[in-house]
Amino acid sequence: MSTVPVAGGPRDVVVVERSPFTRMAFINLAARLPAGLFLHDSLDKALPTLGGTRPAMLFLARQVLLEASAPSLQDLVGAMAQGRTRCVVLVARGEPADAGGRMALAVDGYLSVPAPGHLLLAAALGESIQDDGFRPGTARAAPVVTPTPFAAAVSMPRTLPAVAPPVDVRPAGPRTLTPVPFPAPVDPAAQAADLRRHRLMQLDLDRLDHFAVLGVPMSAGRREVLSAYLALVRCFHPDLAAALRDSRLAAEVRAVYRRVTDAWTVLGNDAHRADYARRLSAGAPGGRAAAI
Amino acid sequence: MGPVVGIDLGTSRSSVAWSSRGLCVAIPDDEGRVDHPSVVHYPAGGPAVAGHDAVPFLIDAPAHTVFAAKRLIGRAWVDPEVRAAVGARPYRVVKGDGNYPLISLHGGTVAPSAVSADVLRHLRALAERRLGVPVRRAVVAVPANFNDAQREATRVAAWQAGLEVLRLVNEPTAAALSIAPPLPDGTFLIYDFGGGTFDVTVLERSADVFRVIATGGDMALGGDDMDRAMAERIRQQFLEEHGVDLRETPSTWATLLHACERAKIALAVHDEMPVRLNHVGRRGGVPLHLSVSVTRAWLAHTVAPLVQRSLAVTREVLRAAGLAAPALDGVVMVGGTSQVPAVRAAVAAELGRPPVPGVHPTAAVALGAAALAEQVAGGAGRAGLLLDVVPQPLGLAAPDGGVVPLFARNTPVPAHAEAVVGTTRDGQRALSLSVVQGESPRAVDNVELGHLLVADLPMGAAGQVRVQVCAEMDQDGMLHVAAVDLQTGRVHGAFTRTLTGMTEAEMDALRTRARSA
Repeated sequence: MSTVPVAGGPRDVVVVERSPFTRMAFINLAARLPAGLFLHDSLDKALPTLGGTRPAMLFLARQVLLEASAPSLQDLVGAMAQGRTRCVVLVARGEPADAGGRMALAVDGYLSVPAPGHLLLAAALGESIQDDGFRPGTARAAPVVTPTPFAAAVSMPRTLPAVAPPVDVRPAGPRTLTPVPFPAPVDPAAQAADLRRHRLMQLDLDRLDHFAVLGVPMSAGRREVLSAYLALVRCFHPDLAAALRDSRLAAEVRAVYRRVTDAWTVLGNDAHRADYARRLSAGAPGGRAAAI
Repeated sequence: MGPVVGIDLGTSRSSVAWSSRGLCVAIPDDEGRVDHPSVVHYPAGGPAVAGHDAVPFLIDAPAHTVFAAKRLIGRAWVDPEVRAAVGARPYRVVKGDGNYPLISLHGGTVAPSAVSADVLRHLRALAERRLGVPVRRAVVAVPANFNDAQREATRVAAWQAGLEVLRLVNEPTAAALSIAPPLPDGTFLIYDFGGGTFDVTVLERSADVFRVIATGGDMALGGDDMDRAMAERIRQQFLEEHGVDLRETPSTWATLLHACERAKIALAVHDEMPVRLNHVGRRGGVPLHLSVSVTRAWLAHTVAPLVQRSLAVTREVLRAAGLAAPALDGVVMVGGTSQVPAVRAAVAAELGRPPVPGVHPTAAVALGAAALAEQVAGGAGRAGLLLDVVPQPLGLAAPDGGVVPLFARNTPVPAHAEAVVGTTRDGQRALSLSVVQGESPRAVDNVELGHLLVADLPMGAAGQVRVQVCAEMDQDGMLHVAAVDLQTGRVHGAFTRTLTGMTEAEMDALRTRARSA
């Protein structure tokens, strides 16, 4: 149990995804978060715990989020632990952090909310920023903000915590925001592996064959299969999802982990693997139901 | 939420530990001892006494002082281990309603799991006193070779003690987490010889992942068998020389067992130890005293058959792992019994690999469980990611008396399996499927974990009406079973465990109560 004091009960971190890798980074972050801090992957899930109402400040929030300079995660967590802020909304990207397949969360911008009453943010915020047309390897179009009728009636909280940089609340209006540059991939192979891992969470895993689940060719040697399996274990082991308050996401992680273990159960055993490969080559379905 | 502790609920001794930011500490009692005897004394009135305070009652009130409840927990009345305990224990083991053993005390009975619950309650109280806050959650270690029923009974015991079990972890795997300096990357054999159980696990560490390759054990082999072998030999000798049977008086026998245990432990350091008991009987009106001296060589000779049994298991597990002894990077010796010089010498001779340093001889398992507890609870400490396996094969009892396999031994968990079962008679409307766990190809020789009743089947010819059984074994080694009627697609989820007579939903309710207690 962590001894980081968190004053005044649990606090929440909301991560708004900005890249396909965020999900992985999200799980890694959850595993490192001090006790008392909880992660949500969208505002929707944070709202009930914060006692917030259905929000209407999409436009303004979006500007603030994108223009705030990125603080370090430590600063944010520190501010939360000291009880100066109740909820942090991060706009974040996942980035490959090390060779072990871990992902780091890079924060593009954030909004801190001192009290639930200030949480008048759009639940739609998540989808709005998430779906900005960005795909890795493609040129990224600058997001265009459209004014909303609610914009005029809105003002930002005056009591931002000390760690927050000064926020310039400009009058609402159509304008183009500076895109946040996505860092060039360090290692294309590693990035491809991470992308595959992320896709694992979205694909129909039950139908994918065991080789595809582990991301190895049918000719892969035993060591290669084992290291692919261990890399996935490091992403999806349920202990890593232990800090997730979001039970749906935790269940998702467990389901992927089960499927990964299934694939290893067959491919990690030479006799089972040979038998399975033979059946697969003969055109048999190779999904989860393909028993040993 | 409060802290989460790691608990090693041993046959003869238990430990509780706590971890903060990766720093694990075993929790001592007021005298600084970290291994707490798994002994519970039940006075005629008043609360149970557990731990060190209960030890004197082994001699004072042997009929009402329960030890080694772990050897009975989750086992059926017909189990050989239970049969062996009946009559051999100073307390009375009787048959309960559900074909499970109970312990008869003061005219009433208690279940073995209730005794374990009293041990756990004691550990919990110690932890609460040390930490100064309520303790409601724990990671509990169990022998790797425990079957589903034994794990279930352990969980029930924890709930009765007011502890929510966040994870059941296998003892050898937990021990691997607690070694300091940490295990290097490589393949290791964990030789875990405790007070009442023996486990062998081969695992491979690569960075933060601990992957179990194979596991096996003897659930009826422990250090207390050594104490009994020693006491038995002394008794024989005394009987021949003086014509007095030391077993006749329960308190004398208990004292002798205790003295043998002390001598066994001391012989790890010394070459020779005296075993002395005063007033063990009378002959011709003269009081008789027992005074013998036991040596290391005498001990080695006495326990040799038990050590050989452990080596046979070790060889078998290495074979199952597909490894030869030279492929091992080291041997981790865990548990008090593994400190016996004869055991260490035999293991070194058998495997030819050096023992890994830095293993706490008695608290290793609790410390590892504590490290895992912190990780599972989302704390700052990282113990490592554990990948464990199914300890014993599991399947469905077939109509011909055989077993339809679901899980092979050493299948990585979480595992899932499916089997299709058909009716055996025309117009059969219900199927009762029995789930068994054990090595035997004959269903009746294995342990029945529970049964699944599939009712309201459609009419059809024999074998035409089929049911798909889906089984899942989770990370804790616990089983979940459901059946799908292949004709209607209806799911039958009522898997009733033989041990508790409860369905999964009822167990969940119990767990929820433990959580909110």
